[in-house]
Amino acid sequence: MFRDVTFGQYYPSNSFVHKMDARVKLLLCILFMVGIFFVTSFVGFLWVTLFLALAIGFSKVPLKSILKSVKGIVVLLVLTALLNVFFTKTGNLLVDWWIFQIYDDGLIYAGKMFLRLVYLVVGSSLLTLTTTPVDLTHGMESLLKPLRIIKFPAHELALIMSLTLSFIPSLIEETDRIIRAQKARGADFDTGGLVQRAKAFVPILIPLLVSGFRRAEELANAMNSRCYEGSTHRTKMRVQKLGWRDAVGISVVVVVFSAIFVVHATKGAWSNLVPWLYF
Amino acid sequence: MSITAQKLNFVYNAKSPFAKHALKNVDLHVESGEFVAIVGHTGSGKTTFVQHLNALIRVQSGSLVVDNHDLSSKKLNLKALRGSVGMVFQYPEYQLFADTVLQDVCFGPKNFGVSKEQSEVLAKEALALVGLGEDVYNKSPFDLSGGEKRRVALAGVLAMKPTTLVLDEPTAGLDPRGKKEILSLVKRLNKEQGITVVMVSHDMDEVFENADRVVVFKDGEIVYDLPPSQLFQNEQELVAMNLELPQMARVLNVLRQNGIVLQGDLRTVDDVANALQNLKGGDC
Repeated sequence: MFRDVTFGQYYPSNSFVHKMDARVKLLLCILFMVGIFFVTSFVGFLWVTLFLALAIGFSKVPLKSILKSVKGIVVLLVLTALLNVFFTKTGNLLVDWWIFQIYDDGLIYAGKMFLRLVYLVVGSSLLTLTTTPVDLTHGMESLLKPLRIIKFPAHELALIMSLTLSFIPSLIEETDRIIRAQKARGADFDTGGLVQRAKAFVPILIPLLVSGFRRAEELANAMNSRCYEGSTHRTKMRVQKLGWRDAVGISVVVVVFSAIFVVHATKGAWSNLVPWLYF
Repeated sequence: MSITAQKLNFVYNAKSPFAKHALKNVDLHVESGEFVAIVGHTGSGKTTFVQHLNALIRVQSGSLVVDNHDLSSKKLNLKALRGSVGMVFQYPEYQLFADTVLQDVCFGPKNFGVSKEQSEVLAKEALALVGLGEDVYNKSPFDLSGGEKRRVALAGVLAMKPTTLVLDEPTAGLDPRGKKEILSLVKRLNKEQGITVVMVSHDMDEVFENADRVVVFKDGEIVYDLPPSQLFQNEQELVAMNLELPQMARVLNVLRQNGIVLQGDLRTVDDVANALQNLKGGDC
């Protein structure tokens, strides 16, 4: 039942994007997410599309896996698009039927909002598809390091995150096992009313909680017995190093998004000269 | 209850980079009342196979018939099947959840529509069978010792009155005495009540002592299907598969290499010792 669930949806490959440094990918992903909100024209979206196509091409992740993550927000997409279509009251009236009026501005806004949301999800899932959860937390830890000056527990936070991540697969496996065991004893999770179904989960939740606490305690004991001590000068087995791929990646993203920011900043001044750029 | 598997195949995570062919053309027939042991290295597909037996994993291709239930059919009556095939998982004590031992053992029968009173009768019978008395009925299952918890979990399955018992490493993690108790219970159920037993095990000694037949899985395929006395003569092949030989099988093999062939179905230290003594008596 749960066996097909892979947390963090990492897609193993040996591509250009996979080999980039996790810290760089994180920062670029944040830049991308901020940048996408400055894209206001369809020409801009065309550029972003080209950029994403390039990134996906170099990541060797099949388009199908990426679109799978878009599937998760379909409801949100449809809802936002509909709201934009029906509640924008500027521009030329296209349709006027009963209580519905559709203006051309509404359609344009809806289209842009739709693209923006899809690209947000595609960009961020490209990060999680090409970076293992472990690398991701190490990257975050490294990026948060400067905050230690204000006593921010960067290492502890990263430890908690990576422990959480490493517990998820084993808890999923445990849940799966308990469900199977109770099913084998005739437990029925699929029929009956709401109360009955909720009650049916008791035989799963209790053993799961018990085993969760047991595992946590075992782990704490194991760490204690090996004299684990927070962040005092721990070194890493795998040191992250910046390489030429990171330089290339950064350059491409910086060029694309500088262009976007420039276009955004000059909106008022140039829109008469090159109106198509701002459509 | 008999089990017949024909050309059974199973692939985990089909069509993904993680695809794993766990069962390849498995053919196996188990007669009603037999005690069959399944052995194999980790990842050889034995757990996948036994989970097919009560439709926790549905048949992907091939056919599997348990008693009169066709498990490859879509119209399978799951409840009836699961009522007659009792499944004891690895570390079954982790499935305990109820407030008291008695309630936990009643969970199975109640799910199959048995009345509260009747299921308590069944639960008490099952608890007596595994050697637990009245004093534990109202205890919390979490307060028991490891061996007792395991027996409560076993009782939880036996209370459903299964006609086939599937056990996945029932003795893992128990002390020698706990192991012996569980095994002698399983053997008794098999001999006295005629329950068909399919047991996955890593402990070759317990396989050698108890099973009528041993099925060896390797990379999702059945490589041997023999009575234990014949199987363990293939010493080198088994060692190559990372399977250890039972102590008594090693003794018998060494004796055989030295020209001493003992007759009969010898399983335990006592069997072999008696046979040796008889041999000596006959010779002198």
